[in-house]
Amino acid sequence: MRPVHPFAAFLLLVAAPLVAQEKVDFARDVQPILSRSCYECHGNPATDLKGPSKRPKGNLRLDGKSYMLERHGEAVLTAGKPASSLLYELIALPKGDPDLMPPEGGPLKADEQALIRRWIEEGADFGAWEGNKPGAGQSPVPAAAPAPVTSSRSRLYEELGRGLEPLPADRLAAAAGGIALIEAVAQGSGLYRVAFSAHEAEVDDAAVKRLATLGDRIVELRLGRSRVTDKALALIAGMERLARLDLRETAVGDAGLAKLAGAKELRYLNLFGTKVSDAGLPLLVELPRLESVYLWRTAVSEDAVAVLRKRLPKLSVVTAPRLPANDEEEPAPRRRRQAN
Amino acid sequence: MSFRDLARSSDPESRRSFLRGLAASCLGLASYPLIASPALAAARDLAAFGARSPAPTATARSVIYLYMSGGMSHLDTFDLKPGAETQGPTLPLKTAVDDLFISSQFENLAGLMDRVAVINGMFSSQGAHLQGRYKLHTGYDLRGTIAHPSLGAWLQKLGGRLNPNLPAHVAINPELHTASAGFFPSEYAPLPIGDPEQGLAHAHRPESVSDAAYQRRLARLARMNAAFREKYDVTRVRDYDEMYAQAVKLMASRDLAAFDLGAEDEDLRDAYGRNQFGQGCLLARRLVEHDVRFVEVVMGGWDTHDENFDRMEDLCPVLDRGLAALLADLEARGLLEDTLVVLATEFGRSPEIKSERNGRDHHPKAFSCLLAGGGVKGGVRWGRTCERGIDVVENRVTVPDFNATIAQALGLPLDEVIHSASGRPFTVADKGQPVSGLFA
Ligand code: HEC
Repeated sequence: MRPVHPFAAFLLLVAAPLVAQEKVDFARDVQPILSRSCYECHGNPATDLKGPSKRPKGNLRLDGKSYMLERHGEAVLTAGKPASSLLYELIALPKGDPDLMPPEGGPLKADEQALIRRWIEEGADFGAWEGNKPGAGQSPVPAAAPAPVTSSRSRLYEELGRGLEPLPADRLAAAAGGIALIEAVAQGSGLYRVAFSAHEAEVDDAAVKRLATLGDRIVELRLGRSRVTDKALALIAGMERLARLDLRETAVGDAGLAKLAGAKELRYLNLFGTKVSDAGLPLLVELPRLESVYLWRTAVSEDAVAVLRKRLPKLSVVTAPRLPANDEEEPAPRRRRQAN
Repeated sequence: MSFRDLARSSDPESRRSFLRGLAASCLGLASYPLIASPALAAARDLAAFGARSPAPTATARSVIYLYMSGGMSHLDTFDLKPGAETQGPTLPLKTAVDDLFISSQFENLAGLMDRVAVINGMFSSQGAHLQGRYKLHTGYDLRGTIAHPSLGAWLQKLGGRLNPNLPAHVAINPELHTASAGFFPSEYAPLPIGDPEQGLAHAHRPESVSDAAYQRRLARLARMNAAFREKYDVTRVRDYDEMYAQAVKLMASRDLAAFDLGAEDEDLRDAYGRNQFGQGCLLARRLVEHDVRFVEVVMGGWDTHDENFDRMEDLCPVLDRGLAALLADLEARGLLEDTLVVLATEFGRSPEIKSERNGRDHHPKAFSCLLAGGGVKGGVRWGRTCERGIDVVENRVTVPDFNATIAQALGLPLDEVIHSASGRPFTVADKGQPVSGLFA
């Protein structure tokens, strides 16, 4: 043993009994360590465990007192004896040992190991803590939010909306005019999508004018089956971040399309059932980011579509559907009694 | 006076038959109020004409959920194993996607598979029909103690409705344990449509009843009901009133046309197939065009314990035609980008062919479902089963994962907890994780 500095010896004498007096409290001191470092593999299969098989590793759960005490096999805990408690043995192994727990991310910090050791030495007392119990099954705590899943649409809106704060509710309400449904594209986003479900018949150019007060905040605008005219498209062209525009079954025609030129973020343009004709198609070239355009039930000819496809080979130009041929009739599905 | 009596006592003429018509097509009076509440009671609905913000960015606004009831054989539809002794006589057909082969019965779908994500790694914990069907629809196991809401009800709850005149949620050809409100209030129950050809039967005011007379009748009814309500002010009675008010509103609305297949070209109707399923698909498209958010179309008959291969020859062409027409039609109208089309079933069927019956039994541990549109990548296969189609060996997708994927596309907050009346916490897809690789 190394000689101890007299002052340190004094400290040991005085301080040690004080420290020893403060008994380790499982719920306060130990459980948070297990929760953080072990539950991912030794927790409640319903809430904690990651991965597809969702079974506690080594068939050991550490999220409940009874799981730790009443387990078949080698003792996980032996009160007063850290050396014959797997729980301590395996966390105290040297780094690199194949049996070290947790297996990844290195051993627990030295003071955490010491704390667990002391807790076992003091009798492995759980206090009032019981944790989860067999039979009680799933913990009532719902799973944490899953990692965010992105889509090309979410990535686009994130980019377009960077730095924009949500607009105040009164401004949105004024723009909605009681007939528009305005929603943020995601929680906390300053970009909006707008539709007029059930109120299409009331939507005219004036309604679009009200919306235009939100200016460059609108990324999706659905005006299908409404009474908007070519005139409104000048206002729409001013919506700088507009990515998706649905004009299906409106009176919009080539003159309107001409006004849209320069809508530089537009990706989706639905002209199904509009008055657009061959004369309007070349105008689509002015929409630099356009990805898909819908032209079924317009006056546009097949030839004009062929020319457009050639000119913009990446653009998806959608016309009449190829439907199943109507040559035969098939019987309705036979139904039989189902065996359970 | 019971509610059944209340329904019966209604004036036999006029539009009340509409309500009874609805009730008759319903599965029981317990799920009585069929049209969701117009009261915009929920905070989300209140905000409908203002602003609200869903959690993830939605890639789909609506869902058309095609449910193959009985358990669709994966080996004979979308997970072929040519050469394996488990394949039987089913033949593969090349599709628009390299390396993707489907049953030769799917002549029309083959050319559209580049729009479709085939999930071959489906896994369910439930091998009996009711339990399996319940699991698919709700994400939870069937238990005696609680009724879980189905996906459409969750969508209405967490995402709100888009069209205040129409139900948010419609079920065409419903069966026991398909779509339902579960423990949510009955305004979240789907509107059942027993026969798509009929649409909403009785929804029109008979010529013989003038509008003035009709208004007088409504007023009289309101007085009668007020007395009744005073006496029995319980939720179900208010629900019934709610439903009545909603029905009246719907009858006056031009959105009623959404239910009328007569407005479609005959050729297009033929293309979908002149059967309950095909016409149900067409009706679903019409409803989605009118911003109904969740439409389920059920097709039965897939429980092929006997004569599996003969029956596939009847079933698959009906599915092929209905689904292919639906995808093509939605796409041509520019709706497929915002509409998620789901093909689901409770489980697959045993790769082992039961020789005495020439059939296949239930097989929940590996089966196939499809997703198309609504921001989902087309032309992909997700998950893989072993050479004989028995086990999932790669990218397993559990039922809650599948439902979480649908909820993700709809922009629903997967972690938002809704408590049942008894205080138990539930989420839209239980603990399911969305399959991120399926999003374009
Ligand atoms: C990444 C997953 C993972 C984490 C995190 C993890 N373990 Fe383990 N644990 C395992 C696996 C796997 C086994 C089984 C090893 C075997 O059987 O060979 C195991 C086995 C054990 C055993 C032995 C059980 C027995 O009877 O054989 C104990 C004790 C244990 N872990 C404790 C812990 C403690 C304490 C922590 C946190 C400090 C922890 N583990 C963190 C994966 C993990």
